[in-house]
Amino acid sequence: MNGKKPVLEIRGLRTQFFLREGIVTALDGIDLTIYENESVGIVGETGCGKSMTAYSILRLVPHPGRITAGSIKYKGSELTTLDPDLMRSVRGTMISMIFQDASTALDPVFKIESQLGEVISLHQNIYEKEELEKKIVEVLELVRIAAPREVMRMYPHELSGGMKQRVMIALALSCSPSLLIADEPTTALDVTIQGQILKLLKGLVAKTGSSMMLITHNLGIVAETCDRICVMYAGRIVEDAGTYELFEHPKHPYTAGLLTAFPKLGEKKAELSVIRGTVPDLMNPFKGCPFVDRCDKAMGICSKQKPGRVEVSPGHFVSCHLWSGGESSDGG
Amino acid sequence: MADLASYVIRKMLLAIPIILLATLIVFLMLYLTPGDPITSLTPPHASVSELDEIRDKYGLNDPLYVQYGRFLWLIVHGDLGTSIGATTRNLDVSGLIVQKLPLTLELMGIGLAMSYSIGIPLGIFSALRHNSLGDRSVMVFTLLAYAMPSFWLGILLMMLFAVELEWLPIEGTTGGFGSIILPAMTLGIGNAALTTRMMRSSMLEVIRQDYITQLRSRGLPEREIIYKHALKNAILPVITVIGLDIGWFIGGSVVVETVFSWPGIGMLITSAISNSDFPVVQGCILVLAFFVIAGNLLADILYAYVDPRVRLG
Amino acid sequence: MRLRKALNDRLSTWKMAGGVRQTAADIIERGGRNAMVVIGFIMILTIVSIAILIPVLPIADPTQIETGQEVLPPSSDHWFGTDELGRDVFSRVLWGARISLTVATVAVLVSMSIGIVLGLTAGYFGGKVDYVITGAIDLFWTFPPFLLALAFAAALGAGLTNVILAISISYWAGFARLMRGQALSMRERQFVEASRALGARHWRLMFMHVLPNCIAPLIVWASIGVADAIVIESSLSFLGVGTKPPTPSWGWMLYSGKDYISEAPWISTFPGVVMVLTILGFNLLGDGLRDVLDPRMKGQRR
Repeated sequence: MNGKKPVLEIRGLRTQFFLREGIVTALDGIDLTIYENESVGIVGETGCGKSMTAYSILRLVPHPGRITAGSIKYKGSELTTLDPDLMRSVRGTMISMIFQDASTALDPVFKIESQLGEVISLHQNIYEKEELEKKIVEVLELVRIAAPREVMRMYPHELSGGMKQRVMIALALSCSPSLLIADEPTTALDVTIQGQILKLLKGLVAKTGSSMMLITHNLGIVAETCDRICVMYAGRIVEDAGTYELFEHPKHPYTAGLLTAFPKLGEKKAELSVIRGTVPDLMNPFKGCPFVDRCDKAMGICSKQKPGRVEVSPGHFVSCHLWSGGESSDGG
Repeated sequence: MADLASYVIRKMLLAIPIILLATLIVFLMLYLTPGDPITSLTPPHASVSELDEIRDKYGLNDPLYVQYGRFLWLIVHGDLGTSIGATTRNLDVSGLIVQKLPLTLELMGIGLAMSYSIGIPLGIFSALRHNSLGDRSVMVFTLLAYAMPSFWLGILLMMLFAVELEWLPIEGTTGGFGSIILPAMTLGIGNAALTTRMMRSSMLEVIRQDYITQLRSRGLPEREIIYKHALKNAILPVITVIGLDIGWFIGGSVVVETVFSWPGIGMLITSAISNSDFPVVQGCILVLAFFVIAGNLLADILYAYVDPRVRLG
Repeated sequence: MRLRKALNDRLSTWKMAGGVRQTAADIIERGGRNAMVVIGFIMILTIVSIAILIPVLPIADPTQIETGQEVLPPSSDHWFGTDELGRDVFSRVLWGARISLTVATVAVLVSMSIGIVLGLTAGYFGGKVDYVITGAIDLFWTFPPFLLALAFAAALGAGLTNVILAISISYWAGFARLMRGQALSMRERQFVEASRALGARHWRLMFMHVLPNCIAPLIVWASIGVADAIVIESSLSFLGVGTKPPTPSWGWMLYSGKDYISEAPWISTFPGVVMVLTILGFNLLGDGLRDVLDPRMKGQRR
């Protein structure tokens, strides 16, 4: 694109769950590229597949699901077919994840120092007690935890929500990954703390030069933090553009709907606008565009054929028949 | 660790009213018996003067609360009354109990060890192979074992090992280690079924948790995740029920000792019942109740030691 | 096929009727799909039918002592052989079923009643009442039911009613706990508030509204309770403080059979096997229903 190398390249990713009642297609052909030093936001409603994308990248899709098609390349190496032990070495060191609810994502019966120590020892081969301790303190200071030596010796339940999330970030960044996946990092926190954590994340990512994939349902957060935004719906990426571009010139009806539904300061409205209808059932595969029932601009072809991914302007991709005329073309 | 210490003290203080309540109930047992309480306390065919003597000794003419007070006083001083049984006439109940107690404790100890050494690994095995043939067989085994009352299981084992195979003696303590195996196994297998189920469901629950996925995302080896993290978390509910288990074992040993004629507290109670030796029965129940309470206390403390979240509660 | 259709139709009507019938239909439908429930139900049905029909079945008198016929192995005359007093084991086993089931069912019903009343009261009214009742529940709950039953049975002496009493006293805490929890959660629910606003009186509220919603867990507990009660009763009988001879009780049969294990194993074996199957049936039903209705209850111990 602009000379930057891609850190992550996903093509045609399909992840399905094989249940007794049927097959649920959580991800239906995801195409996504994240470049070096880039922060990409993934937005969408609950259940659209945002988190599942993250799990698929790390190959942590829970049973009974699996990746059934597509390729995920990390710096050129294919992850989907990687030997399990090698995949394990990728996790935590090259690609790392921050989970939504730090209260449930930290092991409750181990102290902070053991949890951090475990990860640092494993990946950086530091086993000597004093050196390990030094590293732990270093990493805790990095996430701006005051009194790191005391916090270290505590258990997760003794910390506040914000502090737990910082520990989570510390765990994720302790081994300087090239790609940080943040799954709704602020959703479980107080509004006042949310801002702090976001700022911290942004600063750390800039400092370490990693790329970030920020997953959230909150448009406000991605507006502030990300260079690029991907909008997901029912397991597909429907629009992919730079932040400004997306907000100023949304092309997909769903994106437009999201933006108008989001109340803005200074705007006077009689009613909150909503997108009518509900999220489709992912168990019954649908031939056309999944948004067709809720779309004001639906055309005949929309219920018959899936729209392909089209580049409507440089760096701006949409999957919609309004722009594609039913043909798929190559994304940049 | 200071929070642990204060937790222990709090729990021990709480145990005191429970113990008192237990003594009250045991005391009142005397009045549950059909007929005049005096008949429970005297050997059959006692003369009128003997009856009066005993009535005075136990203060049966005094108001209830005085009697209860005396009862407590005696207990604290280790006096649990005197036996009126045929073979043990006039022996101190507490003496009898002290004599038999070690045997019961021995039995319970080995039984507990068996139960956990079978139950915990089996539960883990089962959980890790959820819904496989191995898992289903284990579940069938637990269902069957749970449906068998201890005495039946004991008789079955007796038939199998002592009669058919003649590997082990049928009853008594004569055979040294050999004679404790069958009763211990009976207790152990019976409880292993419960332990296995608890461990299995706890493990299944833990594996689904977010922090397990988080640990995997850090690249930790699966073995470490299961045996260090998952296990420590999963074993908590199992430890909680150690207290209940001890209670079960105490109840179970009464039955099992009778089956195998193992001369511990269980046999003591049973023969006392058939001999209408009320003081012994009463004394034994009190001691057993005390052990149940102590067992629960121990379980609470153990739990707090392992799971730091509990210490605040 | 027609039977199935008729059954399905009936179930659908019930479901639409709401209330108790809907819950029942739901249970039947979901339970029917669970192997444990079906097997357990069939086993229970079999043994209960036998127990009920026994007096009119043409089998030997269980208390008939026949000298000269002692300790005979199974034959066409005596399907399960005879015991040490010449009594027909087969008939004793079946009559034992009747006794054990009666004792267990009545005991469970009694403890259920006590437990429901106390539990609902505690959960519904809260405050001091709740505090006191919960204290009692905790005390009885921590004691192994068998020991409690043993203590009471030892004091009261052997005999059918005493056994029932002893078991009831030791088992009510579980039901009370359950009902208290249900009452607590129901208390905040909309329809309770609504009814109260309409002026409904407390008792009416508790029994007409709260109780029907708790049917599912109650059935689970009751089923497991019967299984436990059979175990307790037979254990007590085995120790001599349960049912008294000549009442044919499984526990007693096993006790007297124990001495004949080498020469006449059938005296203990048959009652034992039938007993285990009965207990298993109730356990299967209870566990199966529990899995079906609320998987979260799985980890709990009684």
